[in-house]
Amino acid sequence: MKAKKIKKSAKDIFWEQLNKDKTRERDDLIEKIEGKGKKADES
Amino acid sequence: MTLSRQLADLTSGGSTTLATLDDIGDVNLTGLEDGKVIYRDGDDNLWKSAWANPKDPVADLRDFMDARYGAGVWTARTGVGTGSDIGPAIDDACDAIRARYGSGEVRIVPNGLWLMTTPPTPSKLSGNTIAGVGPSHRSNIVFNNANGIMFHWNGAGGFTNGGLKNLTLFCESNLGNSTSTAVLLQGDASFQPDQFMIENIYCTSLAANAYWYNGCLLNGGLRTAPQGLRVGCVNNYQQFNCRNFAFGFYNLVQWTMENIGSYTGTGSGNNIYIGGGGTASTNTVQLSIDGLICSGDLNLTNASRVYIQGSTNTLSTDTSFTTSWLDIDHNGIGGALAGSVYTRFL
Repeated sequence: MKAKKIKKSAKDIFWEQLNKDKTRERDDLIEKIEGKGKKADES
Repeated sequence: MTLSRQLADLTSGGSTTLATLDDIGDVNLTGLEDGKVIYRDGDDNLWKSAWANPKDPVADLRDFMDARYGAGVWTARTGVGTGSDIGPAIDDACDAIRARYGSGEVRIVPNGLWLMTTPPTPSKLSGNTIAGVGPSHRSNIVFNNANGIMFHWNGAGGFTNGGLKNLTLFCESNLGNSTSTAVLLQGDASFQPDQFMIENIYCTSLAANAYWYNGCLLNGGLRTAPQGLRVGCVNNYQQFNCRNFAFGFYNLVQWTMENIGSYTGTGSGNNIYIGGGGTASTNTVQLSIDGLICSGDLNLTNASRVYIQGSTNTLSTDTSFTTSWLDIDHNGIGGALAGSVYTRFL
């Protein structure tokens, strides 16, 4: 039986996108200052 | 050329040659760094050089780094946890300002990354403003201290006023789960750092897995007469990477805030707390916030006459939060709302 796809609410999408954008904003700043390879996600 | 003629030339918008000034013999121009200026030190009756006039109420941090470590000796942050500690030099600058003016401003010029290992002394900071060149990502300070409070104003000696503005504050990249707090305004039963301005602060971490414990805590809880931490504003403060809470506002009286947000925390690190001690003289009152973004839980207790417009992931309240206005987009609410709280929820 095919699993039913759960539709995300508009609010879930908003918070998911916000979190994604702010994480990117933080990581871009780290990369700009510390250089590539210094992001902790990669350490 | 005489000194008086040289000064006349300068004051009329003209110029004089450094070589001739050197001939006067009371200022050493050898090795004078590019950008430094000459000022008259009346105490020593000498001409001296500095980044800015250190007798002005606006001090340049570099002058006090020169004085403490030696010109050309100190460095900005050159690597993880390495560089000259700016904390003691900020203390020196505050001492100089205090002696001459009572209160003033310490200017943090853009210089790559400054390193702070020793936090400035709260009683010295009180009354003074720490200011970068804004709005953000220009003047940067890395806090290399796993269990300290980076900036703590306590209003000691009755020195109210002060501020923190135009700065990017980083948690050092190797601190992991620190117990450090970035900004604290908290005095005692007699003095609080009233009349305060926080503006254009981007507080984050130099590694995604390094965390502040708390971001910004404003706590007037220890004073009941006059009540609380009184009169201030917070504008454009973005708080990242906390693991306990991003913002805590307790026993604030008459504050306004605009565009503040919490992001990328772990555990309860995205939470924002507004509250107080549970009595009329210890609860927050007259707080207005526009443009709030709380990526965690916005927790509202022990406060009244609070206006909030913004978005929060979840909202927690109880009936000790009264007589207020909430214009909030939330993704879930818990707790009871007092009947005197007017809401427009999305």
